[in-house]
Formats: sequence, structure tokens, C-alpha cells
Amino acid sequence: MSREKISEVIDNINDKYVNEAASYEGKENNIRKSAWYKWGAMVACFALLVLGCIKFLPMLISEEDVDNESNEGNVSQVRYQYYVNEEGFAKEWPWEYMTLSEKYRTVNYDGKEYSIKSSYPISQEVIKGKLGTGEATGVDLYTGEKYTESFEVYEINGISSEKLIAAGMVGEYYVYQISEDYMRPATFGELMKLYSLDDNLQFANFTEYEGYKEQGYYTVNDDAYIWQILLECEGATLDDTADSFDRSNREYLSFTATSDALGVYKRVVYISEDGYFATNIFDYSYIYYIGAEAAEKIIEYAEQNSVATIVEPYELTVAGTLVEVGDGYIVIDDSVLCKNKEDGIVYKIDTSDLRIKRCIDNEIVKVGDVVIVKYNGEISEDNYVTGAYSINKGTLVESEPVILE
Amino acid sequence: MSNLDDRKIIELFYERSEQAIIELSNKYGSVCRKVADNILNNKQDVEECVNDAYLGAWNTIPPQNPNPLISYVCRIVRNIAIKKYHFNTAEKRNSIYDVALDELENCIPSVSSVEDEIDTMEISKHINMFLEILDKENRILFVRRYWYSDSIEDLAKLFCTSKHNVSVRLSRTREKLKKYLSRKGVSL
Repeated sequence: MSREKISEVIDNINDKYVNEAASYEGKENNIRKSAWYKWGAMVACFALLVLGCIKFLPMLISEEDVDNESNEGNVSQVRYQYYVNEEGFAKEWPWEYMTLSEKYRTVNYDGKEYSIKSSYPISQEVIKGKLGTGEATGVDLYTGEKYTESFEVYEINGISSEKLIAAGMVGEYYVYQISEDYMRPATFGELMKLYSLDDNLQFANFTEYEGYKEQGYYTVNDDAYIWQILLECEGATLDDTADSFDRSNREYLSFTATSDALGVYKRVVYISEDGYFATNIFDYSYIYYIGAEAAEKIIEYAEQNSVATIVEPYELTVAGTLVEVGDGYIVIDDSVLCKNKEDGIVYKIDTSDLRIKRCIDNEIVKVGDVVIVKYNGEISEDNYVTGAYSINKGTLVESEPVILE
Repeated sequence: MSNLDDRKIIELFYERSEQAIIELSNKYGSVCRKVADNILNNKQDVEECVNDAYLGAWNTIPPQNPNPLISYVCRIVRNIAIKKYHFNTAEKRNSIYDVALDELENCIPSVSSVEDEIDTMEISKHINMFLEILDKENRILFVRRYWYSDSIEDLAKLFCTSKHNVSVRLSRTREKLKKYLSRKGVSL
């Protein structure tokens, strides 16, 4: 075989093995650490530090806040002495352990290809009339076998099926977006109409910014007036002179944009004092000039009709030692993180989600491990956690005093 | 200097922020240069190759949303480095990549028909299945040697063993691969 072909054969080695080899840090007794080893360790440490800070800092802050509420007049104490750095983890799962959205990344409907937009199932509330059926395709990376499945296709809450559809089967549907669609609507009115934005996007939490400097976090009570102003900006034109919205010298509000119908979670909409509406909810940067007057009205309204709030964590997490694996649940004890062990809380966590179940079945996490669980449900009064969708091993790191800017 | 996590870097790519390239370089610049250097063995070529790879990432994210980012960017680097290698060195052989390819020549069968492309994919599929059943340490050793083109010396350090031991283990794995491919009906 020619050297070019050998190289090509090797090039097709699966990503999971390429990644596994990249993250290999050498044997535990390896004293003579190679440059690669050092690089790997540095990246891991930095990545973990960042992850840990991002994920756990908000939790620490909220704990402090809770303590403040329950101990009025007392000097606030952070309950935790440690936080948990999540270990990097990437695994291709066997077909039977993949969720529907992981299996079927594309759906062909009405002669067009749609790609998965969100891995979270869409709620029934925003699924409207049935449009027909489409053919979903997926590949088992373990065997190379291709699969096809007939998916029901539905309209999503007034959104053009030229842009987004809901597709799936047996009551489990996901948002798919038209593939390779790089055309941005020329006016803000067209954008609103295509996506029924006023029905599918809410303005609630926002951050006030000067350049990249955060000035405060707020929640606006009612967004009706904001939409009233935006609906008057139908003629606002697309600004396609920049690839991204330059925030460096601007004053603006950054609204959190989460929408089940649009298949987005915690993206942003910027309203700037100099008259721009900019967002990344459509994956690319969409910037429209709505005029300084309209933007000023929105900003003024938001400032006068909002309350200060605490920072929302990007993801909700609980962490601690995995102490029990039961049928349909696990138990986590977080006393290992606490300054005083007796302050520990024991959480019982629902493990019905396949993404959790597969980690337990395949012993990615085991009893005795320190773990981080992400969830999007709730914690009941008796500390039962619903909506858990991810579990990962972590490492305990001692908390440093944190200076918040 | 702390590095952003992959998700944040990809968000920057999606925002079309040039900061994405800076963060990518901060986080994965060293490993990218290592991959390119193993193949090209020339400092100037390595820098060009890595910069081209960053541009490649810029042009493909979005629509790609790679996870993990490291293997995605290393793959781009490797592809560009190999193209540059073929352009540079039709005659001379001077890199770890050459030696690694030589080692594999005797265990991967020859395909020369018009169906080369299909055969190549078929053989790759078998190699992936072979790697699945290989024990983890030998699998990593194989991938580091033949995908990343790491030198025997670097591998010996990484696996805390002698160069001879690494060579022997690789040789045994190649022999196993040869037998595996033969059993799968891939004629040698």
C-alpha cells in the first residue's frame, strides 16, 4: 500500500482514540515526565480550574446568600471548604446507550436536510401541527453501521419550517434546524416573522455592561413593553459589516436568551445604547440597527422595571461523594466539601435519564468517587434531585478566597 | 495564564470573535506544534502549518461544533502537515512520520484498484475495531506512534520504559493487527 494510503487509513482512526491518546498523562510512577506529559497536565489543570470556578463559584455565592438569609445579622460564612473540579471526559457511547438526539443528527424532510439544534427534548407545549414524516439517519461509530428511522415532523409554535422543525418519535421530539443555511434575514421584521420571536423569546434576566465590565445583574418584571418597542422596529436593517458584535466600547444590556422553541439555552441578546439588537441565538452573529431611540427606550424601561438579582449559575450542579448506587437512584453526600462535616447534605438523585444511567452501568463513576451531577429539575425539601442529566468524576480542590470584581 | 474551557472557545468561534484563535492557541498551541513538528521537522513549516490549521478551525466552526475540540484541531493540523510534507519531500525522508509509516507498510495490505477509496475506508473501519479490542495502554501507544507520530524516545519517557520495550510492544501490536486484518478477509 502506498504511504499516502497508509497515512489516510491512519488518519481515519476514530476521534475517541485520538482524544484518549492526547489526554494520556503517562504512568503514575512516571518520574521522567515528557514535555507532552507536562503540556497535558498543564492543560488539564487549567481547564479544570476554569471549569471548577465557573461551575462552582455560583454555587458558593448562592450558598453564602442562603446563609445570609437564614442568619440575619451574622457574618456570612461559606459552607464549603472545597469545590470540585470536573474531570474532562469524552466518550463515544455504543448505539444502545445513545439518546435519540445523539443517534440521529440529521433528518431529511420535504427534500431538505435538517441538523440537530438542541440535545434537550422540546416540550409538548410548543409543538404545533404535524407537518409529515422525515427520514432520520445516524451512524453507529462502533460498528460503522448506518441506521435510518422514520421521524414525525411538527411545526414549532409559529416558526417557519424553512428554518426549524420539531422531529422525533414516541413522544420524544427535538429541535432540528435547516442545514447549511447561512442567509440572514435582511430586516428585523423578517427575522421576527420567520421565528415568531415575540412568542418564542422572553426578556427576563439581564446584565448591564460597559464594554466587557459587568455593572450588575437584574431581572425585568414584564417584557411586554420591550416587545412593543421591538415590534415597531420591523424595518431595522441587518448590519452585515461585522462578523461579530464588538462590545469593547459599548454600553449595553445583555439579556439571557433561553427558548425551548428556538432550541437555545442561555445564549444572549444585546441591546446597545447606540441602537443595536444583536444576538447569537441563530449560531451566527445577527446584528440589526433598531435605532438609538428605540434602544434607549428599552434600556430605560429595563432599568426602571427590574430588581437586582444574584448571578445565575450556567448549569445547576450538586457534588459530593457517591455513596450508594440503587435501582433508579444514586446517593451523594457533600460533607466531603464542607468546612464542618456535620453540615453535609445527602442528596438522592433520580437516575432514569439515559445519560446518567449509562455512566453508572459502565462504571464511569463508582461508589467512593467524588462526582459532579448536573440537573435541570429541582431539589425537593428532602433533597431529592430530579432532572439529572450528567454525572462526572471530579477532584477536590481547596477553596481560595474569591475576589469578585 | 488560565485557559478557557472548550465550550467557551467554541462560543467565541460562533460569535466570530478573533479572540477564539488566541484562546485556541493558548490552550492547544503546544500540542498542535508537536503534531506538526513530528511530521514536518522544520520550524518555519510548523508555524505556517499551525496558523493554517487555526484558519481551518475558523472556517469550519461554525457550522461544526466539535467535541472534543483537541482531536478536531489536531486532525486539521495533521492533514495540513501531511499535505505540506508531500509537497516538500517527494524524495527525502527525514521525519518521525516517515519512520512510523515505514513500520506500518508491512502490516497494512496493498490496495491498487479503482475502489481504493472504499478499501481505505474499509481498512480504517477494521483498524478502529481492532483498536477497540486492544488493551488501553497498547492502544494509546499505537495511536501516539502512528497518528501523532511521536518518537520512540518520547514514548519511552511517557510510558516510563525503555526504547527497546516500546519498539517490541509496537512490533507485537503490528503483528496482531496484521493477523486481525487477515482474519477479517483483508488480503495481504
